[in-house]
Amino acid sequence: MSTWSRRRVETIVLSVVALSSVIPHRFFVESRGLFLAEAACLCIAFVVAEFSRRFVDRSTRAKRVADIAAVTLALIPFVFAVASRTIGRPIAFEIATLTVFGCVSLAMAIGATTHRIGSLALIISGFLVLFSASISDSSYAVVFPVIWMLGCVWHLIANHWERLDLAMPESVQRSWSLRPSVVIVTLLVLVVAGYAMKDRITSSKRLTAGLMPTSGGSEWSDPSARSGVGSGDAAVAAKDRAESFGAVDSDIFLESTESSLFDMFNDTIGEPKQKNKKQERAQAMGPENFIQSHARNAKSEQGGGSFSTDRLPPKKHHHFKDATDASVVQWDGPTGIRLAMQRYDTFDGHDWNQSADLSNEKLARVPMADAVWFFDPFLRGVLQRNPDAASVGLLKVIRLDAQRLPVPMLTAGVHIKEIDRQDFFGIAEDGSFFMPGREKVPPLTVVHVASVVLMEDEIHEKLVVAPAKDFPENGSLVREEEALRNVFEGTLTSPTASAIQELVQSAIANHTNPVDQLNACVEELRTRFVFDREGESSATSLDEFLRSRRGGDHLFATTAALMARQIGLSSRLVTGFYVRPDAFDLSAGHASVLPQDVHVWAEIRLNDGRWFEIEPTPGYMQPHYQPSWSLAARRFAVATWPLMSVGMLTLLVAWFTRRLWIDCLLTAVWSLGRWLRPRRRIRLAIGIIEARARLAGHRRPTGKSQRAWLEQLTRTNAKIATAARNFSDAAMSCFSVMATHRRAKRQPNWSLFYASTPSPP
Amino acid sequence: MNLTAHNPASTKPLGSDRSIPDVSSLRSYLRGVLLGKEEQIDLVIACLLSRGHLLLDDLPGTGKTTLAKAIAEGIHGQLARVQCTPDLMPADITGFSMFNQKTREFEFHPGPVFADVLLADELNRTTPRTQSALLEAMAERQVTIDGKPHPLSETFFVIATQNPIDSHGAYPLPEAQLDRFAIKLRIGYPDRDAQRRILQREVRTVDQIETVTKAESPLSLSDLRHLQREAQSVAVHPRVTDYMIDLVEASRSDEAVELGVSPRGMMCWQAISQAWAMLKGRNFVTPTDVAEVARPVLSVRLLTHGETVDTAIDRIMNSVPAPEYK
Repeated sequence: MSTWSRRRVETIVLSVVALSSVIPHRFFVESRGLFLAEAACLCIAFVVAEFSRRFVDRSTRAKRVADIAAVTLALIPFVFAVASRTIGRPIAFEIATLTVFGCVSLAMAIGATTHRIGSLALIISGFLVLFSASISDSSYAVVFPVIWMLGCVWHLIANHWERLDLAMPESVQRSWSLRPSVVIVTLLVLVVAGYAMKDRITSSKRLTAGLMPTSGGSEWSDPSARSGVGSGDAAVAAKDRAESFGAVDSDIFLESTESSLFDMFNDTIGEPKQKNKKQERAQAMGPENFIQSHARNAKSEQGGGSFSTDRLPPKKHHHFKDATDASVVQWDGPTGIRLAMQRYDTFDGHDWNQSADLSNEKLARVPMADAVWFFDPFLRGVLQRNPDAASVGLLKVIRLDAQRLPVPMLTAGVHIKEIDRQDFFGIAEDGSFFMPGREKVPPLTVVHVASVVLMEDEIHEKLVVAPAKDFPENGSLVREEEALRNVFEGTLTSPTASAIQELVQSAIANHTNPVDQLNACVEELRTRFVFDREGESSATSLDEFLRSRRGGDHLFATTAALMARQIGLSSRLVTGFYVRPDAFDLSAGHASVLPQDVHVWAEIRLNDGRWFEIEPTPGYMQPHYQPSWSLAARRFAVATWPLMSVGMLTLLVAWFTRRLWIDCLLTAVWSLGRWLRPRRRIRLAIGIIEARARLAGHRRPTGKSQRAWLEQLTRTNAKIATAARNFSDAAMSCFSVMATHRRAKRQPNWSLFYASTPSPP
Repeated sequence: MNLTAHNPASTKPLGSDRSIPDVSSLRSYLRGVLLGKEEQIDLVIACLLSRGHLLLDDLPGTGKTTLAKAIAEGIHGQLARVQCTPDLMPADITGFSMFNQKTREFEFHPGPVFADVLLADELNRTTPRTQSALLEAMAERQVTIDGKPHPLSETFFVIATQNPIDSHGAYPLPEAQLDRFAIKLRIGYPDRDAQRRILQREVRTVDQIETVTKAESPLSLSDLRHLQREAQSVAVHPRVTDYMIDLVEASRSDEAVELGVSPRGMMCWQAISQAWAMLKGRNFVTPTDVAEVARPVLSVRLLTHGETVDTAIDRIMNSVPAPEYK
C-alpha cells in the first residue's frame, strides 16, 4: 500500500476535480466563513488520511488514523450541513448532498484497498461532476466535466489498454447470474415501498422543471432555496426586473394603465396609450429595459383580396385587471411572519393612536453591487456592525391601496430595481416605511426588503424594565418612554386596569427576568384565551374580552401591549398582514397574502431603540428569535444534563468494558448456534473468533487464510493449538468438492472447541 | 461432509488400500538424508508429484547435489548430472547419433536427459543455446535428433541449480525459460540443531564405516507414476479456483510487477497446490495450500522493478482476501 500507485493518484485527482465542481455552487452563495471552515476541515482530513497512509504498513495505529480520517472526510459535509441549519445559515439540501457525494468518492479513492472500490469512487465522481455541471447556470461550468473526462480517458487508457481487446463486443461473453437472496430482498423492499405509497400515487404531481425536491415541498419553503429554484421563468424575471410582472399570468407593467414608477418612452411598441390623468413621481428609463419576451408572435391568417393601410393600434395583451390572483401583496421570503403596515403607541382606553414622531424623509442612500438601497439610518448602523444579520425578502405589491410598504419587523432598507431617487422612500411618523408623494404604491412594484435578524441573546441582553432614563443623548426617546407609561396609567378605567394587573400577576408569578415575564404573559394569552374573530360570542370591547376571554386578534394584541406595560416595558400595537406558513406557492415561488390575512399584533421596545414583535394570538406562529450557539448549548445543557451525563457515562463504561460485554454477547450468540446446521455453525464459530480478534485489535490480514491465521494465533498454547488445528481440519472440508454434495452426519464436539477458543493477546 | 474434529477422514492416507507405498515414505527417506529441511523437502516432493521441474537458487555446499541424488535413489531412478560450463553443447545434454563403421548406420547415443532425474549444476554458466536445448526437453518431455523424436522418461525430473553469487561470466536464464520451472527454492543453511546432527552423523566408529548402509526407499518409479496421477486427481473447489484466479490477476495488475503469472504458471501453481494438499493427506485443495506454495511458485516467474520479488509477492498475497470457511 505504501508504494506509489499511479492508478490511485489518478482516482484521487479525479475525485478532487469532481469535488471542486461543487465549489462554484457554494462559494458565492453561502456564508463565507462557514464555507472556508468546511473546506479547511476537508483539507485537513485529506492530508491526515494521505499522510498516515504512508505508515500503514508499519503500524496498526496509522491504519486506524487513516481510516478514521477517511470516514471523517466523508462525514464533514454532512456535519456542516446540519450545523449550518442550526445556526440559521442553511446550505441547500441538494448542494450538501453533492458535497457529500464528492467527499465519499474522495474518501473511497483514498482508502481503496481493491481496484473495485477505486472504480466505484471514479463512477461517483463522474456522476457528481456531470450533475453539478448540469445544474449550473454558468457557462464555464462545462470546464469541470471536460477536465474530468480528459483525465478519466487517460486513466482508463493507461490502466486498461492491454485488456481493451477483451472488452470488444465480440469477445464479451454474456452471462446471467441470479442470486435468489438478493432477488428476494429486492422484491420485498419493492413490495413494502409500494405498499407505503399506495395512496399517494394518484395525488402525486409532476414536478416543475428546475425544481429540486429537496429544497422544499409543497408544505414548506426551504430557507436555503436559491433564487429561481422552484419558480417559473416569469417569477425569475420578476425578481430581476422591477418592471416585469411574473406573479400573475404574464403582463408587462408598462402596458398597464396604472400609474408607474417609471416614465418610459418607447417608440418601438407603437403609439403611447392614454395614461392616468394624475401624474405621480416617476423616474426616466431607457428603452433597453424593455423585455423582448412580451412581443408576441404574429398569427398567420388567410389574406383577403385587399390590404388596408389604415390600422387600429395593435391589440394589447391582457391587462392587470384580468389577473386572477386575489393577493394583496406577494411575499418571497420566510413564511409565518408578519408584515407591518401601521403602528400605534398610545392607548386611551378605547383607541390606539400614534403620538411620537419617528418620521424621516432622508433615508441613507447605499449603493451595493448594481443596486441602490435606501436605509433607515439607525438600523443601518446596526447592520454595519453585524452585516451577517441581514435577511432579504421580496415584496410584490398587487392590490394594496396605501402608500405604506408592508415589511417585516426591523426592516432596515428597501430597494426597487432601477430606482435611484431618495424622495421615493421615507419613514412615516410611526416608524413604517412608505413611499411619499403618491396616492398608493404602484401595483406590481417589486420591492426588495432587507431586515435585521434579531437574535434571542440580544433580547435577553437589551430588554430592560427600567425606563430609558439612561439615554441622555436621545431626549426624544426618554420622552416617548415616559409618555407611554403615563398614558397607560392615566387613561385606563380602574376595573380594566386591575383585571390586567391580576392577569399579569398570575402570569409572572414565578418569573423575575423581564424576558421570562413577557413570555409568560404571551403564553397566558395564547393558552387561556380563545381566538374568535367573527363568532357570536366574540368580545366587542376590551373589558368584555378580559371577562369572556374570547375575541379578535386586536384585543389580544391590545391586552398583550398593556400587560407588557404593566411589567414595565414599552409596547405598541402593530397592524398589517400575516404571511400564513401554508401560503407559499412552490411553483410560483412566493407566498400570496390575501385580504383576509390582515392581522394585529404588538411590539416591544429594546433599550437600544429597536422594536421586536410578540404574537399573543393563538393560531398564529410566534416570531422565531434564533438563539446563538452558546445560548442554545447552555439551554440544552441545562435541560438535558442528567440524561447527558448518564448517557456519556454509560457510553464511556460501555467503551471501556467493550471486550467484556461483546464477549458475553458473542457467547450468547454461540449458545444459540446449536440449532444451526454444522456448516453454519462453522461459519458462526469462525465469525465469533474473528470478531473477538478484531475486538482485541488483531484483525486477520486480508490475504491470510483462516487456517494459517488461527495457527499463528494459537502457536504459544499447545492445547489450544490442537483445538484450533482440529477445528481447521473440520472446517476445511468445506473446500472439499465432494463435501458440498453430502449431508453432515456426525457432530463435532463443539463445546470443547469453544471452551478453548483462542483468546487473542 | 464429515466434521469430526478428532478423527478427520481427510487425514486418512491416500492409496493405503492399494498396497502402494504412500508419499510419506519418500518424505521420511529424504528427511533422513537432508537434515532440518522439512519444508523444502515437502516442496521438492510436491514439485516431483506435479511433474514440474525444480530450480535451486543457492550457495555452494548447501546440499543441492545431495538432494538430487537422494531423490533419484528415493524413486529408484537413474540420476544424471551435467556440470554446465560455457563450452557445454546441446548435444552433450540431449545425446547424438554417431556413425558406426561396422554396421554402416547411425547409432543414437542418448544424453543425460534420458535419465529419470537430471541435475543441471550451475545452469546459468552455460550458453543460452544449451540452456534452451535443456529447457525445451523439459517442456516437451522429448528430444528430436536428426528428425527423429526420442521420448524421455515418464518421470523425467530436472533439478537445475543457480549460483546467486559470482555472477561473472554467467548467462542469466531468460524469463520465458524460467517459466518452465515449477518452483524456485532456496535450501539455505540448516539450523543449529540440524548442523549438530550433520556433524555427529559423520563421526563413526571404525566398525561402522563398513557396515553403515543407507535406508532403502520403498518407492519405485511406477509407484511415483501412480502417485503423480493421483495428485492430478486432487479436487479443487470452485471457490479455491476463483481465489487462484484472483491472485493471478492481482499479480498481472500489480504496479511493481512487469510480468505477471502466465496461464502456464497458473496451471503449474494449481498442480503444485494439489500435490501439496496430497502431501498433507487430503484429497482437496484449501486456500492455505495455495498460499503456502505461492512463494516458491511465484518467485520463479514474477519479474519486478523497483522492489524485490518477495515484497511484491507479499503484497499480492495480502491484497486478495482468502476464501473463508462457509
